[in-house]
Amino acid sequence: MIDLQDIQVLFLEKTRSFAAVNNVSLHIEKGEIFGIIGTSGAGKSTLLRTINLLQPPTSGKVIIDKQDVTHYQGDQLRKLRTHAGMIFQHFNLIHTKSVHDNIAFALKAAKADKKEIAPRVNELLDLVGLSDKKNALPGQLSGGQKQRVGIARALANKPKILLCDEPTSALDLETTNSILDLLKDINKKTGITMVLITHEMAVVKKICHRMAVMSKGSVVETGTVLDIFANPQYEFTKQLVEHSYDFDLPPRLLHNITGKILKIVYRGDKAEAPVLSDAAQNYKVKLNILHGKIEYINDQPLGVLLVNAIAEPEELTKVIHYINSQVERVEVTHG
Amino acid sequence: MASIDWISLLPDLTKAFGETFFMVGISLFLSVLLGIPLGLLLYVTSKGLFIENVIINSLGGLIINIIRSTPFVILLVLLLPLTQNLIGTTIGPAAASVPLSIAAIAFYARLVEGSLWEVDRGVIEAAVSMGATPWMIIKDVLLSESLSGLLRGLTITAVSLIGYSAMAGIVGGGGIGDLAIRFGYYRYETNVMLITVVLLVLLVQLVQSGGDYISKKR
Repeated sequence: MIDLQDIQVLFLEKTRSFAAVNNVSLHIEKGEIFGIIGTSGAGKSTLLRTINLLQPPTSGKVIIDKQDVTHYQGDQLRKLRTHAGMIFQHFNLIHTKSVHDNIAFALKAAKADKKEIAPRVNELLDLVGLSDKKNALPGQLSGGQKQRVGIARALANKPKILLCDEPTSALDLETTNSILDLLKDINKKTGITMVLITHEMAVVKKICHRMAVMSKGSVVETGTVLDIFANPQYEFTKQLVEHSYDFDLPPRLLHNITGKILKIVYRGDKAEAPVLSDAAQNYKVKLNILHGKIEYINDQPLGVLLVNAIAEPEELTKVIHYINSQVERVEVTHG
Repeated sequence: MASIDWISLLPDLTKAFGETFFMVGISLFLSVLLGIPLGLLLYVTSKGLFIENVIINSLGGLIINIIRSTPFVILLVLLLPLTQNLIGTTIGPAAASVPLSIAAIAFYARLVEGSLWEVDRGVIEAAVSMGATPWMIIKDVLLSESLSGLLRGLTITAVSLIGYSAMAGIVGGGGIGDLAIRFGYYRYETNVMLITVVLLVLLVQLVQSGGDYISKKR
């Protein structure tokens, strides 16, 4: 659906040029929710904007639906943009226009028939659950409601692509979840392709199918969300995954502990095998669970356990080897 | 000090007010008609905006700066040939309206540009991302979002114009300021001058309050 080929975006500063996006190639499938995660300044926002050419790339190609759109201009570009909706962190609604007029603006931009505007606006407000706010001004809405208007506006012209620029970063946790649920629901119902950028792993985990990790202008890792969470390769990704688990043990515990602390990551059907009890029966080892979590990413379980293993060094090596053969991976985090 | 002869002053006063309204009205009308497009042009051609154009932007900025940096009294004199060409005379309120309008257009254009800079860039970006045409963005985003700023700017322009119009007396433009100078300064009728000053203060106050009220309602 969307093919980014060797995208580079250079910004000229006074004395030097600075690559906000550095040779990024990505392929985004039709109908998927693709997440791009990175810290602020990683270039993800710039990269997202190259898709609808709000930020023309310095070099590289943007290919949408097998069409090279990189050099689109004028009417052709405007037409392309009506087929790619976009939502924003700060919603970017026209403050002086009602909810109805904000959505109608998008329809007018696509030169919709005047008679079709009113029923389509009602339909969209229905979709986002804001039928009663039709005549309200943005200032009278909560953050979540504003984002719902933003979504309605972005979907007004039945686009094939929805670009989401940190859509939940200005919202509280509960509202974030309701907005993500709405996006997920729209993706399921309409099969729209979504590209979502965020700095929150929780967002990616909740709705994305595949993801890319960006750091300093480059994509350092791409894969399914489950794969990346289960087995992050790049140091920066490991940190992100680590942060999202929040598995800090109290220093007191680390201080008094003997043996080793193992971090065991398991997923899918392996989550159902009694690995730990087998290990305890077959080897001379004491196992004590210190911390743990099972998460469901795209309906597949991913478990992480922190286990204190006490045994003779040789036996311990065998235990680790055994567990490692049974699960996704084992890491010694302490001892 | 002799008591004021209200009856004999009244015709002078009404005439002066009429002339002031005429000059200020024409200039205000023209500053809306031409100052808003000029301010818009300066804004949309500036760096990073959707019709970025360095040449038009710097040329427009330069012309406005030349007009704005020339003291109004000098501008009044400098523009005499133009006034003669346009109106056919250099005397009277209509003639004084020429330099007043030119000064007002330049002044208001800058205020318009300033108000437009206050518009949330994200909203403009959103409109661009929706495939809106420049005209739609100008009409439904820029002018709509900056309306209260534009009205506030117009109030400031009107108040400045009332002040400037007083100087128009120099070219025989008439108006309240002219009355104040003729009676109060040349004829030492301090009372008349005080009255005109009080009336001017009231007028400015009225314009300011009215402008504030309308812009807040938006």
